[in-house]
Amino acid sequence: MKAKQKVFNVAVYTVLLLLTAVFLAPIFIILMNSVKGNFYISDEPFSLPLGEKFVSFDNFLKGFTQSDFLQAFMNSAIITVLSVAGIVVLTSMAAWYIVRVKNRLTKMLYYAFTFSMIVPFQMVMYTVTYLAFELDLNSIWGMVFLYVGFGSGLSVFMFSGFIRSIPAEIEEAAVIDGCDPIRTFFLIVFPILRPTAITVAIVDAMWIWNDYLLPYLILGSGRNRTLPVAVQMALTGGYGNKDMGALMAMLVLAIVPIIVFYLFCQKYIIRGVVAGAVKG
Amino acid sequence: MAAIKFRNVVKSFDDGKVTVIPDLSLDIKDKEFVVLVGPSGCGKSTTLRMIAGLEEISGGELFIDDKKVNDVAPKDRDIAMVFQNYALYPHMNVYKNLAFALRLRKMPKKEIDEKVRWAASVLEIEPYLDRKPRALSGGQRQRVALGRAMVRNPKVFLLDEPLSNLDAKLRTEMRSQITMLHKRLQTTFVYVTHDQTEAMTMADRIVIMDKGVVRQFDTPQKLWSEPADMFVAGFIGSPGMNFIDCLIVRRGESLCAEFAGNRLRIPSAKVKMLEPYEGKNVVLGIRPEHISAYTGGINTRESCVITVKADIAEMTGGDVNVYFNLGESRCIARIGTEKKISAGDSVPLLFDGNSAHFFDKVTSKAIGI
Repeated sequence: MKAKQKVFNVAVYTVLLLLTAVFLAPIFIILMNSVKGNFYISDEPFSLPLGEKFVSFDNFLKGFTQSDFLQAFMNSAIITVLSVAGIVVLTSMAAWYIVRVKNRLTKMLYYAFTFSMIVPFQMVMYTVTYLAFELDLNSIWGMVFLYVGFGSGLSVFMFSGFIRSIPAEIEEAAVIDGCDPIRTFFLIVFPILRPTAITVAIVDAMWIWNDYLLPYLILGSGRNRTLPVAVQMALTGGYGNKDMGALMAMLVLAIVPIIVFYLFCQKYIIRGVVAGAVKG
Repeated sequence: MAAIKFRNVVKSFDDGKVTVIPDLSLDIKDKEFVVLVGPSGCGKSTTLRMIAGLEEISGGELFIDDKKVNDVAPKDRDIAMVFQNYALYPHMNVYKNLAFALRLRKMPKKEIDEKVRWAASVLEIEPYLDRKPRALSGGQRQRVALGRAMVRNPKVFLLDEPLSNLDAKLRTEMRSQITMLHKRLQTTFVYVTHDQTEAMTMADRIVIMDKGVVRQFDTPQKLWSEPADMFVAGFIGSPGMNFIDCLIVRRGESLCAEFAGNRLRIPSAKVKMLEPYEGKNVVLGIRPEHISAYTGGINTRESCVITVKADIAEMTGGDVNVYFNLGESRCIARIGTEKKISAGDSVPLLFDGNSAHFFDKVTSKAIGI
């Protein structure tokens, strides 16, 4: 029995290690090539950056200076931070209202939010782009507005589940203690929602930071372009004069913030997803 | 310190489709400890929540300290409430939980600290001031909830089944703590429970409610000895009062109650009020404590001995609950443990007529009250 279990464990760990390798390989290859010379990137993409292949951080400097990387980075950062903040604050308030005020309107709102989760983006892509241009939303602020809209379905769903598990008496105690609804929300409810708020923030930050299609459709490749669009432009830029080293460095710089953010907050993800599943 | 007055208060839900309190008038005196008690859904918690301002009043008037508070926000009513599930703020430690209401009122930090430490010392929770609620036991949480109410120094304390989540031993301990707290604070307490033992042991006066109606509002002693109707008589006491259908008849000089082939002479003090019922059916009520094992001793004129067949004999410690049928009525007698009784035994029982109650069969009201 023990030997059988051991074989099974070895098989499971082998499969998991292989899967880990498959997922990590592209990141490792990009990291490796970001410090290699251009010639070696195309000639020996899988070799380690040793000896003459290693060019230190030259590629990073080039990536910064040549492709207006900093501007794209700032655009992505502003859009991500503001959108995530907007989604977390506004949808948690909306979910609180929907859960605590029980009437036909809030029931309809809840169904509308949850329904929005199952509508594929491609289905509304054309109309949203058209409306965004009509309403002058083709700006960084417009993108924030659109992301708050697109992100609200899942967030309202997640917050509602958690809020249902918070005894209403806690809010009533706050009311008796002297809180108005705004204070009750920000001093009592929102701090209790922290695990779910962090989960929503991580999920949405990763989505918005990495999103390519919506910013490409709305902001295009102009000065307001986001990081994924800037990287894609660098990849396709000019006939044969692509600087692969600079491109690899840009990719590394593009994924670092979101990985750091994820690692910093990952312990809250499971807590936030499980929160609200069981009362108590 | 405040008196609370309900004047024809109505509470309904769903735009008046469901009325839970049809017409409530009640006077709670200043510094009184009043317990609202009744079965689930009787409206006791709704009544408490109306005092707190957590439920709107659909009709009538509510006064706290002679000030009409129908439209006054909870925070402006100068009340404090302790909830069944403690309702502590989980993200704050005990100190911050206690200080929260005072900080909202922008009280100076030094004064807040004094009040918090005073409440903590009274309730013996000083060692836990830095702990979050999740690191406390049920009893400690309940004390924190009480402390949160105490620091406010409110006019009225509202307590909504505060002990129902505690185990039996802790409940007994906390019961005496709350009673002592009331004596110490000299404030009006309104306490909701479905546990009649809590009600009887803690209250100055008890409001017994059923379906939104006050059945009786009186002292524990009066509720026990002079229940206003069959609901109150059956609700107070454990096991509840036995109800036996009987016929009031005159046998010679005496007025008697006849039931299931037995006869109980009506005590002289009750003859006058039962005379109008001669020839009519009434309900005889007798508490299990007032039926004892007959050992052949003195049998007064107002007692009768009935031999019954015990169906079940439950040992409760100091007493035995004997279950038996009398006519169509299911009855219980609480008797001493001197004589060993088993299920199936024939047991001679002495019914104490002086402690018997009589109720109108139609209205279920106590006769003569």
